[in-house]
Amino acid sequence: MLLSELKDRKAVSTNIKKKNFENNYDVVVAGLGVAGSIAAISAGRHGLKVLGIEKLSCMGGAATAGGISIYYYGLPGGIFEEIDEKAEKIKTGNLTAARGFHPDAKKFALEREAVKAGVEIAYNSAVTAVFREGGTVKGIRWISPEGVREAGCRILIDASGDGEVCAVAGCDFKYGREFDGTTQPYSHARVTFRDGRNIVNNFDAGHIDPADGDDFSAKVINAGILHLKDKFQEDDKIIFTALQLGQREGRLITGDETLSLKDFFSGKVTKEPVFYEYSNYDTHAKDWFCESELIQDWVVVAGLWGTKFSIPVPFKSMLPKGFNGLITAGRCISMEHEMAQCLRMQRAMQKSGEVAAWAAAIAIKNNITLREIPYAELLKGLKATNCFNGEIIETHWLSDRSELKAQLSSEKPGYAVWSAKLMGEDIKGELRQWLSSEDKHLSRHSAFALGLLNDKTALPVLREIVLERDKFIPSTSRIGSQKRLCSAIYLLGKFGDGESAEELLTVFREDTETDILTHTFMALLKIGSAIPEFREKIANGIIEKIGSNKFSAMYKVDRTYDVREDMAGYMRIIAIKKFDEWKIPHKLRETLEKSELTMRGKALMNQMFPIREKE
Amino acid sequence: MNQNYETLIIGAGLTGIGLACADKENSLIIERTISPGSEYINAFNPGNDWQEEPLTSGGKNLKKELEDRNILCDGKVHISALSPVLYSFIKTEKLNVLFWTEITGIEKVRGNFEVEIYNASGLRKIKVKKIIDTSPERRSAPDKSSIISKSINALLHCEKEISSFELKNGKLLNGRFPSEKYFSLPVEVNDSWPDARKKLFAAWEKRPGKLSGWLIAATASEFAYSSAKGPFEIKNNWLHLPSAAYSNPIQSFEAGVNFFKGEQQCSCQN
Repeated sequence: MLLSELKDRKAVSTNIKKKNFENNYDVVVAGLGVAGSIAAISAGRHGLKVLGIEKLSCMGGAATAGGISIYYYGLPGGIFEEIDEKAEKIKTGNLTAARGFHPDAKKFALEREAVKAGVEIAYNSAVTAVFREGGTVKGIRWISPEGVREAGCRILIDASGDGEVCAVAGCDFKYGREFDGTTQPYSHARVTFRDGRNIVNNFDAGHIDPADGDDFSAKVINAGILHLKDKFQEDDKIIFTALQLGQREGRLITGDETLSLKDFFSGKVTKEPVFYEYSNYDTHAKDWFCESELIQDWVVVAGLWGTKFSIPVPFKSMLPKGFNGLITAGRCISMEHEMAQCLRMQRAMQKSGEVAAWAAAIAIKNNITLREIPYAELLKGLKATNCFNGEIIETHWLSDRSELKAQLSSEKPGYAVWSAKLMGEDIKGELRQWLSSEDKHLSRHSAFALGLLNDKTALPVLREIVLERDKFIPSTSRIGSQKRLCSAIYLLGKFGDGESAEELLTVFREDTETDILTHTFMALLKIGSAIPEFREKIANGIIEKIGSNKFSAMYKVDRTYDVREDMAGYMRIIAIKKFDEWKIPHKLRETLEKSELTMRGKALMNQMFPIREKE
Repeated sequence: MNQNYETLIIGAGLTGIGLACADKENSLIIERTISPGSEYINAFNPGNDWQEEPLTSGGKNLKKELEDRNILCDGKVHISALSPVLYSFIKTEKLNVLFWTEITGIEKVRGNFEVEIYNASGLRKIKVKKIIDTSPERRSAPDKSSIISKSINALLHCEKEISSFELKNGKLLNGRFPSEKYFSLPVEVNDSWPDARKKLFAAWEKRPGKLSGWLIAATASEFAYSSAKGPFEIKNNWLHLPSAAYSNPIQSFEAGVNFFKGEQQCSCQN
């Protein structure tokens, strides 16, 4: 038998003598948060012997202790709706009104249903080790208020949110975006009483490495301080500050199937969905220049941050590769970073918990592995509780050309820009004609559409946007919309447009906003990569600015609170990597050494200059 | 984080914070939640005896800050707002705190303690000379014998003030603002969270009609304990000094601050 533990961020397995556990469960649910609560209740209702292990003293996680007691999109269907109705009844006449649902009513309703379903609850407890035979999970060890405990289980559901139990078990996982290995900002909600009801105040508190205990603790303190006021007043009195951080993204396990936004956008979706998410590309990151081209096309050019879509999720994305008796529920399922920004909302997470419980019940009843479950049987179960009801909301793109033209002429051109991209060659001719229109919106937004179609006829208009420093912000989305100047700079970089290099260097030298500066920086590096003869000039222009110890580029993490991060060190690391590749001599390393790197700067450093471990 | 400390303090309650102030560089607080002062804040325990003058400069400063920020007035406290004050205090005073961290094992090795901790990084070991556990349930060596009683509390919002109202089951406590009250329901020391929450909701549902407009805004996530005053010896250099043994956060804080000034004689814990 193997004892698997996480030690100093590394999974370690040790051979031990076979254990005969005194207590054995059909199912252990690690984490009774949004997904795990539903998994435990559902598994209990299936008649299984269930143990739920939870770090806090209540169920519901982000929805209750985390203060985010409000739904953000998602689709209806599943046992969570019945529990929400019970919570609403508990609230009536006894609890305050609340925007969304009342966290304490939900907390109590979940717990009451879990107890009723026979779930054994271990609060204030955390899983610290997993026992397995080969790749098959056999049991767990956890720390409880009574000390260290162990038990056997047939199926372990990792609903820790952050894939922590999978990491302990030794599963492979991915973490953060490809460019710098970091995740989107975290939050620490505060519930206050205002205008006759409980209100959630949520904000972005900075960036965190949720897999690092020291960084996590430091960020708890940084976030907690943001609730401080000179004078607290009755009309906005604090009800509570969240008992857990709002970690929107963490470990993403490597599963039998991995969901990718790129595949989704190109129509490659599963034929065997077990539930659907319905959301937008909801990242709280604002340093768009570090995002992939797919995301910059979607957000920076088309401004589609707020556009929602229905995502089918396959069962295989919940199964960690190479492991048996282990299934994930919640936001750590197997998907790429970009998909993880969308697939994390409470309704869908609750559905994932219900899917995990149904799967556990079918596997145990038929004495088969989770992988052997016939899709039809799982779907039959999920339909029985309405968790899977086939209801989705389609995203409609434009096909009517006059409507397309009208929207490109408007201040909300995003759908039209992306629709044109989807139309492809068929629409290029018209877009080219519209480039010369006197209607500035039509001309410039047509250039964006052509830019997304990789059509160089867009270049003169894109250059014109830069020359004019056009800071108009289209209003396609409520959040994330970019200045037209940034969209154009990004596209010119993507084209590797040498003709723009001189003007972009001028922009870079100006005392300008961080978003413009960082997009220009990246565009110049792309142009240099595409055209070797421009490299020296571009490098010198960049070094002139970022080589100074006084250079700073403050990135505002939150729109309301004063949470900022200096991107200077971060930009220097990117430049060093590029200039080394170009074989351009520079002294940026010396400048970098004199400045203190942020957590993300360090992550980028590790990503770009990995230290190879000794064999 | 270092691997060696003089003192390991278990619990970032007020006593734990006070203890760390005595030797900032050489102390490490391990807290299993993300909340400092949770024995008051998360328990919705407003404490009492606030009119008593603090005995230490640290206690006086903390009390003044609470008054300046309109958190404390005439002995009444807006307890939830103490949370950011404590986070800020920890940062300003540069206290070493590891939140969201469990103690999974303690071994005595050559006169020192080797303590195994678990958090987002996984398992790690640290070495300390002394351990002071300030948690009510003595998390480092589970034992509830210092607990005298416990309650489950709720924070209430009430539109209409009703003066001097006595309840048959539980009691009502005042908060800083007229609309802020606390409902405190005594439960058995061994009651689990589901048991206690069930009693709380049942009691509140059956409250007198006069209080029908008073509503629960939130329920506690920590029990409000009343503990016997420590220190109690667990083993040589391993003590239990429950933070919940004092009347209010300032007194709990000062119990920590004063602890090393002529270490108190340990009481026996049966």
